[in-house]
Formats: sequence, C-alpha cells, structure tokens
Amino acid sequence: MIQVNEKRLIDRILSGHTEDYGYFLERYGREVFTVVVRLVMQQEDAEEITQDVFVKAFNHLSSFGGHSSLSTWLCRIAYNEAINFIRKKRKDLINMNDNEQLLDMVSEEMVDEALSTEKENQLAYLEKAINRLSPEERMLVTSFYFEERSFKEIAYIMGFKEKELANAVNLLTTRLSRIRKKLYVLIKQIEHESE
Amino acid sequence: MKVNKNSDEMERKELNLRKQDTAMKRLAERQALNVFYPTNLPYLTMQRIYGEKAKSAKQTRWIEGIAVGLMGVMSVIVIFVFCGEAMNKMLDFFVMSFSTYSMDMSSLSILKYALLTFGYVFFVSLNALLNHHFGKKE
Repeated sequence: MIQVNEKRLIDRILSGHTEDYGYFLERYGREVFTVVVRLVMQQEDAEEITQDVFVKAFNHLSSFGGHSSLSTWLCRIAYNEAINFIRKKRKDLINMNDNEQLLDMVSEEMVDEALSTEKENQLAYLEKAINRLSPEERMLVTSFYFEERSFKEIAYIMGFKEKELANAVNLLTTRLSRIRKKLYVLIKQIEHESE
Repeated sequence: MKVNKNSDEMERKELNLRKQDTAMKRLAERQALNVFYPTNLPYLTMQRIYGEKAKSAKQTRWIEGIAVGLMGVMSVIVIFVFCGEAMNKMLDFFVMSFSTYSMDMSSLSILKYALLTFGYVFFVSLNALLNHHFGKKE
C-alpha cells in the first residue's frame, strides 16, 4: 500500500536525515489537521495536536509497517491524540446518551429526505447537528462523507485491529445508520430551537 | 471469492449512501473552504522535532558523561584494591631511580599518587579523544 518513494524517504529519515520529514508534513499536514479540527472543534487546540501527531509519528516511524498508507496511519494517530485530548479536557462531550426509543421511531425515508436536502437553511441545521454529535460519531460522519474513506479505513483509524476489521465494518455500517437517524432528530431539535 | 463479492457489495453500499445523501456532499464542499490551515504549521513542527532531537542528544551526552565518571571512579578503586601492592613497588622503583634529591616518605607518596592520577587521566582523555574523532556517530 505504501508508495515506493515514501518507503525510501522513511528509510532515509530513520538513517538520520531528519530534514526529509518536512516532505510528509507538507504533504499530509492539511489532511491530519482537518481530521483533528473536526474532532476537537478548536483552531488552537487542533494546531497543537497536529504538531503532537507529527512529533509522535516521527518518534515511532520505525514501527510503521506499511500495511496501510502513511496518511491513514497518521490519521489513526491523529484520531487517538484528539480523542485523548477531548477525554482529558472535555469529558462531557464523550458521554452522550441517545434516546434509543426516539431513534427507533425515525424511519429511513425521513432520514433520506433530510439528508438529501438542497435548501440552505436545512444545510445550516445539518452542519449544527453534526457539530452536536459526539467526537467519535463526528469522526465517522466526516471521514465517510467528507473525506470519502471506506469503512475499512475508518475502522483502522478508529483503532480496530487487523483481525477485527471485517466485524468492524459491519459495526460501523450499523453505527452510521444510527447516526443518520440521530442527525435527523438533532436537525428537528435545532429547527425547533430556532423558531 | 466470497470475500471479494462481499467487499464489492460493501463498496456499492458505501457509494450509494454517499450518492444518496447529497446534503452531506454539499456540506463537505462548504466545510473544505471553512477549514483554516496555518501555513507555518510544518515549519513549527519541524522546529519542535529538531528541538526534541537536540534535547534528547544532550540528555544522552549527560548520561554518557555520568557513566564515564562512574566507571572512572570504579576503575580507580579497582586499581587501588587489586593492583595497589604491585603498583606501589613499581612506582617506588620508578621514583627512586629518578629522584636525585633527598625526599621524605610523604612527598614520595604524593608523587606516586600524582603520577598514577596523571597516567589515568591521560588514558581516559585519549579514549575520549579517539571516541570523539573515530567513534560511531548518530
């Protein structure tokens, strides 16, 4: 999966050419930053965490096996760092209990309609609804829709092991279906609040 | 084969879901413009990496220095404990043969230890010098 020239570059960095690491920063910096900022929702925090991610990746570069692409590996570190940061700073955002009964009442048709809207105000509500999701849920939504990652890739980023990936894909599919319903409920809540 | 079929099916499902939720696609385009990526972030990160590397190298040098110091002290102790007698005799001979003056015993003893220390410092310095110039560098 890893590109040949990147592998060579990693070997060079490991043999002491630290300056070559700048290439990866230029190439993947924005991608990692985007993942982090979507999770922590704060510009300054995201900048600091992105730096931490690249420093950590540099220190553990020798352990990168090349089973995934380097960008996915970096995003996995970014996800862990961001989640740890949120756990330390903002515990309230992690434990959000869903109203399961309410979600069961929402049909797929209702969700499909809400998520295929073209109206500007509905899009604004949807944006707010995504911001109200828990960091893990937001990660799943943004990775799947905005970055167009596959479920397998998302599962890897979210820390599932190689052996668990097949099960994780099913789990994430179910979870995404649940989150879509949750988004519908949140959109309705926001609509109600703004009236 | 079954795995491929499942994986194809999964890919199709993923594509359909993305295609169907058009609001998400529009939002993605809008959000991509909203993310402000600081252009100096790669530079700052590289500075941090260089800083941490220098810090760790300094730490290693300190540890090496302490280890060399400890080894030095231990070597002196070992030399004095195990070779004290033989060296005393050797140094007695050396000092006696070179001293043309009449010296008391305490001065001779000081001279002996001074010579011993000088020899030791010479070899440690030589080792450090050779290590510095020809030793393996990171």
